[in-house]
Amino acid sequence: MTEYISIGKVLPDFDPDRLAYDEARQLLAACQRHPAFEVVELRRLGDDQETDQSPKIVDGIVVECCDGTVPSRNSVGIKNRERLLLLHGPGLITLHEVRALRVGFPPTLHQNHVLRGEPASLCLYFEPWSAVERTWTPAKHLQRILWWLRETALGTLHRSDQPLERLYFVPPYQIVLPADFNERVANPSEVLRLASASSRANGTVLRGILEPKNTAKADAHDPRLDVLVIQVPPAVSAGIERYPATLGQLHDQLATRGSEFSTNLIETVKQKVPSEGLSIRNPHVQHILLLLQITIVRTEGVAPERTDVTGFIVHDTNIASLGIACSAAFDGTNGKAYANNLSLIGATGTTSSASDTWRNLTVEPVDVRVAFTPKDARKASGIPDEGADFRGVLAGVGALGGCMADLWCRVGWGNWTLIDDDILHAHNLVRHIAKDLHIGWAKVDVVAHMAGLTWPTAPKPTAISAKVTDFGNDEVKAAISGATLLVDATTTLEVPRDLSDSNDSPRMVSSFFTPSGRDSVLMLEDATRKVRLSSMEAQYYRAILNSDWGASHLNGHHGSYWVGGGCRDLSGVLSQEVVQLHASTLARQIRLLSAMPEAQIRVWLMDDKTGALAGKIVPVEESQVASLGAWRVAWDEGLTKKLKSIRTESLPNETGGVILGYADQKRKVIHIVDVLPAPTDSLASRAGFTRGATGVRETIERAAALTANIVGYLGEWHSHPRHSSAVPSAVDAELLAYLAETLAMDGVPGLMIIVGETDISISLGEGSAA
Amino acid sequence: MAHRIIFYPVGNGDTSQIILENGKRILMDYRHQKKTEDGTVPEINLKAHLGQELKDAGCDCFEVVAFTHGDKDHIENSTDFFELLHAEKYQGEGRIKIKTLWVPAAMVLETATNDEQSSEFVIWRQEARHRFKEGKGIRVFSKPEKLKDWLEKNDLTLESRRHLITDAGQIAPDFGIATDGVEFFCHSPFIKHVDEGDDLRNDASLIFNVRFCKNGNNYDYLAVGDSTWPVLGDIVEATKAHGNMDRLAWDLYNIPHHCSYKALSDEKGEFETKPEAGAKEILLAGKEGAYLVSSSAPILDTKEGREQAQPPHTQAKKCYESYRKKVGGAKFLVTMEEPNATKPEPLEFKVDNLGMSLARVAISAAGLLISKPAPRAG
Repeated sequence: MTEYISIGKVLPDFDPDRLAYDEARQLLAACQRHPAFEVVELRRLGDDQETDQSPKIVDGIVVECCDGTVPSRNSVGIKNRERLLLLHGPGLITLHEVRALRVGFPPTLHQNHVLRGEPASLCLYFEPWSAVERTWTPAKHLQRILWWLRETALGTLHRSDQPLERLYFVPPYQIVLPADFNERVANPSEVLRLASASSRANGTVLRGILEPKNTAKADAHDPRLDVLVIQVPPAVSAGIERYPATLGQLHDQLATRGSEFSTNLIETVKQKVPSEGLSIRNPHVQHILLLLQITIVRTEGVAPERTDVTGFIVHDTNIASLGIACSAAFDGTNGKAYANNLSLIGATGTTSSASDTWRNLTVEPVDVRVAFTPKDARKASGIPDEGADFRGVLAGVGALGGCMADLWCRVGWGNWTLIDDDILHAHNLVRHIAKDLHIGWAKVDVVAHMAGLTWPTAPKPTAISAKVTDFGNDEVKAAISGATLLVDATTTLEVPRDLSDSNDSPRMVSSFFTPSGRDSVLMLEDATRKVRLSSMEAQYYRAILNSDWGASHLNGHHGSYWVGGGCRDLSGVLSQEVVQLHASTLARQIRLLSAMPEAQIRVWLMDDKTGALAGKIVPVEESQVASLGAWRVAWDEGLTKKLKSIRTESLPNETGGVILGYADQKRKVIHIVDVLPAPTDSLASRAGFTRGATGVRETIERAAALTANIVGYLGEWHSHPRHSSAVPSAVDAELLAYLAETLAMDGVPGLMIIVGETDISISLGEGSAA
Repeated sequence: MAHRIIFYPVGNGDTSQIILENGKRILMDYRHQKKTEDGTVPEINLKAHLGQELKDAGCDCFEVVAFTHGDKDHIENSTDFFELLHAEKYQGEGRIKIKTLWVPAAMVLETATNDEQSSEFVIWRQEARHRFKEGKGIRVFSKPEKLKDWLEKNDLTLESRRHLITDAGQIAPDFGIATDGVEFFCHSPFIKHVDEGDDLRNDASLIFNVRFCKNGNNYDYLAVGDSTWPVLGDIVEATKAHGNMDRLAWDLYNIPHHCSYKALSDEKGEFETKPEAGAKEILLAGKEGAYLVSSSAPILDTKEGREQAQPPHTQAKKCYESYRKKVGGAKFLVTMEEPNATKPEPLEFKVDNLGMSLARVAISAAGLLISKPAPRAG
């Protein structure tokens, strides 16, 4: 016959009025209506008197429940008909608790912790009651019970990340150990100290801190616990077990899994007892926190899968008393306990034969958590480990760079070297992850410090306080050559241009937001670095000139040949909301796009009216470079296509127009951004082309305005008729000379491009003044 | 993957189907009532339902159709549904084929009065005789003297037909645990019931222990059509004598004769029938978590219900419930009550690696409402 646990007092009949609460009466009615439930009896708990006024009364409805969906011989051990006690009243784990009354109801996942011998308590709801009660009805409760039984029997109820339910009648503790606990705890020069981690006096979280021996200081809110860490032999992974009630039961439970720990317990306690003895009565210690490091192996003789740390509070004892209880120590009869080392036994005091009174000490499980590592962070962020462990350089840790560094640190992506020569000023706090205490710090140190505060046990980012373009700095050089990704967040012109020219640089990505803070930009080189950032910059300007979004993209620039955001300006007006918005988008896109080999130019436009962020993808064209004297002229395939297309449209006549772009005097590079079509007043024939002037000035001024004055006039282009090559004619040579002479006034060379039937020629002329 | 056992709500009558994991289908009895065709009665339109099931499965035949006996409530309108080989009028488009017909010997032998000649059981007798003479597509259970006589009369030898005959205590060779995951152990009919019995039908109907094997576990389905307690008593005795008591254990018991008290005792009892020894022994052979199924109309525990002569008898149900509790069984289910008496649906069990369970889809109230048009609003 099936045996059932009996709790509470049976009520004489099914009269709903015998129940104390309306909710319980409704539940009873639901049971009576439900075909899968059969009411067996009513019970009352928590009260010995007959009064309904007692605040501790708990109503109980004993039901048998069978809907036929639990398979009759499931390996979990749930029966297809189970007797349950539905409880309602105060002081329960949840307002409606469900207990399984059958003796031998299996331990499974998703049960609340109960004392040994008490009926199992089903953990039906994963959300807090305050959320559950919004949709809770007695009928749905019954369905949920059936669901729990069925899913548990089928083994499909998986929520293993569920935190351990705690005892509700003892002071709850949660212990948070450092992430490197398992590696460091074996170090004999360090001890584990517990410190209250709460901001309030009623806090329940303790931090475990590993500190050098003898420096450990008592905490003002000392939890009054002796700490005992025991390594136990590898245990074979087994099913779920009920929590043991005594230290002896705990020991036996582990012993059946091949992991008995009494020897280690005795040895560890012995080591804890100093030669001068340990006070048996220690008013500062109430209980022992026992931490068991259990290596879990799948089957015997196989390499360990992981090390679990489980914790128990051993009640009303301390190291000295426990030592005596397990014969690791003996009572010196002077109020102290001494380690029971054989050599000493003969010499001093009394010693009894091996004691096993330790077995009867009450234990209570505590929730042991281990702090996160970047690897855990990746898992929690949904970021694959693969590709996350690389060396990266982040140049520029201001508002944008600092924010991206913080984000990547939190998701565990990359091992970063931070390079920036700036220091943190008071006004930076408005748009930086820094705090007040960081004022005056090097920004790289600020960001590294913040990373250390997030993951104290993980390697901190390397901080180099220098300009990333300081090629004379060995530290900078080593960092760049050792990296596989260089992220430029300097919001400068020179860093992406200068570094991307270098063949020693890794794959580079540049990111910034526009002066108004409205838009943000990302440029990423392809994995083989065929297209460099310097070329993409010119392509980006062409996109500004030719896209509808370009017209207002760089609004608010100071016309100072600099498109980066105005964050360095003391007067810059930009809120951290916008910084974080763009930084988050850029950080995520850099992470996602750098995992793919293609080059990218992307622009995000923010619409404050709707809050929408619109992404624009600018196609990346292959780059071309020609060396012409002291200069290099850089353009791209997109430009070539455009030139050819305009020529073809104008055939049989020649055509032409103005070349737009910019010259970098430092690098001696001329970047061609765009070519304009022929003005309407141009004269074109099969034999020649004379560019008109209508609208040209306006167009060029517009280009300058849209690009922070970077893009301007570079020279002239024209086409040659059918079957003609791009070789300059005598007239063309004169045109070039004219351009060179005129541009020499600005100290820049003149550029002439000719588009022939199959080729394109680029000529550069420098006037005498240049 | 699972074996499935389906009971159809055909009123006080029987129709059940076993669908094996390998797709083979065994139909036991067939009762289609014309009155179900306009959808106004709770009973299922069996012809349409089975037809659709087969169509969905892309097949037009049953591996086996077993008629436990020739009573109307076990064969009603079956001659319209199946293809019969003995006469062309029962053949043609849309009729469902029977690879092997299973009948008790009585169904080959029964005599009929003149006004019964057009009855369906006569047609099935002709079909059974035809197949038996042909020597294929049939299995006859038990070989009483009367069957030998019949064979001689038809110039056939027992020897030539022995492979088509299975006796009580034997396993029907058409299925095997190793090949199909199932075996049919024949408990009844006995030779004595056919040769000595006055009532050739109920006393000599087919009773099987259907044993499924899944994941190393045996699941026993005791399939009883109509029977009475003395027959059950004989079966217990014979089974004991041969040391086959495990063949009476059950995870699923299709209780006899639509929950008639006569399968338990001659005395109905006022509130609860007391089972006679043999019937009781079968009840006590129920395994933990087992189910009982009554192929019957809803069972009412009212004065009217207690007094009605025809099954189902609520006193019998109470007896079954008592023993269900004794053996730790799961549930007593009535085909016409599941999931409710207004629109009962086929009751489907499945046997898979985790055991036997009801293949029931939990459906929310909202799910129920949106599954069909809402009533007209004014």
